Amino acid sequence: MEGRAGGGDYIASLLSSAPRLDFGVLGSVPAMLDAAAAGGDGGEDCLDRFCGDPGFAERAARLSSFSGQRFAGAGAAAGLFGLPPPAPAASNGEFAGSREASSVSDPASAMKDANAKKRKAPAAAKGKGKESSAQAGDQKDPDAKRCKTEGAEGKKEESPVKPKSEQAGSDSSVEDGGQKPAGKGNNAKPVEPPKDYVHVRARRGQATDSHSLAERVRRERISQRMKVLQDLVPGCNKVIGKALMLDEIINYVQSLQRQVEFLSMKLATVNPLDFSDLPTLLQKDMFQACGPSASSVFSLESSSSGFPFSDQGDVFQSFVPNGLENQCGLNPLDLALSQATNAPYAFQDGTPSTNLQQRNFWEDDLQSVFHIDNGQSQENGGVSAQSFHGQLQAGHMKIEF
Amino acid sequence: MHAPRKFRKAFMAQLLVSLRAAGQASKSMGLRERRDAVRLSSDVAMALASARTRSAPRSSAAWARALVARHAVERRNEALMRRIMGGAGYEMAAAAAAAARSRKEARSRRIVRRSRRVCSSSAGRRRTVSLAAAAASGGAVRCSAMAAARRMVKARLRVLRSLVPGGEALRGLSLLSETLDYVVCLKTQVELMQCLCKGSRPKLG
Repeated sequence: MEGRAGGGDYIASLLSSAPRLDFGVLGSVPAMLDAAAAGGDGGEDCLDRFCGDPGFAERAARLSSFSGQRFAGAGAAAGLFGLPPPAPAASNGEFAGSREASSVSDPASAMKDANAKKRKAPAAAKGKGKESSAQAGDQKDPDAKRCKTEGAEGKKEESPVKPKSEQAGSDSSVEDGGQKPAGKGNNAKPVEPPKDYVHVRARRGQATDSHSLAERVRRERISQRMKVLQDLVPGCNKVIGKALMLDEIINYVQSLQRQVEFLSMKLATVNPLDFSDLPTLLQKDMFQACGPSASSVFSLESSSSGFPFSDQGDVFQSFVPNGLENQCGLNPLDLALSQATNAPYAFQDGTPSTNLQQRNFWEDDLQSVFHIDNGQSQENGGVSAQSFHGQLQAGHMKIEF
Repeated sequence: MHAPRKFRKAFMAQLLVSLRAAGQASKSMGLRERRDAVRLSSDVAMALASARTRSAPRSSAAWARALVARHAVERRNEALMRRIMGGAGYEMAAAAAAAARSRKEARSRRIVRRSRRVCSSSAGRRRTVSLAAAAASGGAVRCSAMAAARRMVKARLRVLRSLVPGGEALRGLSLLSETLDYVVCLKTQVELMQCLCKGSRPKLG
């Protein structure tokens, strides 16, 4: 019961939340609630199903947002160094398209922003973020775990004593990280009104002065992060305790850094930095998306290498960005297939119109990357373009074998 | 655990761009320099990709900026970085590097920490005792254990700070967030580079 009532409050809080939240998520929320209402365990199963895709906490949501956002090369660097990216307003319009991504991202980004703003109203956003992230279904195990524990604790409250129900219904802080014993009547309500500051109600048997409350909130946040890290770092599950987990994390970071060094050494030796990278991208993203189309896109490569490059210089130059974009596996492979069929004809016709058409297919940042890079290379007097041709040809030659 | 596809795609794209730039720049250098160039390009690619896929208000992670600044400090990387990030980007990186070098914040924090450590014998114990009492709800026996645990955690946090780029100035929660980000990006970096390695190996048959 409590879980469902909490869900109702959650919808209310969602509706009154910041306008950044995509309303697409509201469609999924009632469905989720119905599923949750079907039974406590059933709800958890639904949550499991929804949180199928492994990932990590708010990062994934944030990273999956802004699918259509375009940065110039300098703009990315600007974004890196703190300047606002060009035309953020334009990018906001593209959110409506990717409903799931934005619905996941916005509460989570709200989650993240709050942390950046010195934890002003994080619990509200976090509570929303947790629930909506579970429901939007693009989410990760830590969130799944959190949702599960929330569900479990919500179930626990179904048989509580009356005085505790007041706590359960209250707008208390986020569910605890397991540091405090469960018997203390802590509730798992992630719901919080979206206010400027955190509303934390004291749990039973705990100190109520402001310092310890703030401290407890801070500790809970830390434990939350530690849980996410625990899921991220392999082998951290068996270890309990901050110090040991930090040990594992440190070891993991060190090993990753060493791996990067080793791999960069390997790349430096093996690869004379030509463009045999293309088929690997095909491989990687292909096997992720759908296997069998790999052969057809490979045929694209071999076929295009058969064409005479010399006299079709311009077409090639404009085609190559599209080719690279294509093979970088951004696009669903049916698009790639369509280009595979179009490309040879584009070569023969030599029409820039088809290239433009193909270019319009992929309205995403990769395009801008390559455009910028072509712009830069043209700055250098087009020398790099020539070498680029040669490299690409060499790369294709390699593939054919 | 995989990073989301947008990030990976952006990263891979940027990686190719950077590698291509590196390839144009250094055809004749020795192995070590090539490896440094590769590492530089992949780090810059990682930073730029993370900047690209991040939401606007929090433009990029602190580690990304520090990483790029770390590379920008060395003079010989300048040409390559300019090519990858564009002149404006490089200027910003250099500025960030200069700022990092004379970062008063970290220095003052270090001083405070050192002084705290010096006089931690009495004050620290008192503090930890009070905290332990509040947290564990009594039990004076646990205080020493808690203090020891706390010291362990602090030591490890120090190590972590040295590992994560730009972590010197971070504390507590932000350090953990940055570590999280950094770990994910490192993982992606390793995976993508493995992919490249696999691909550039000559295929048999």
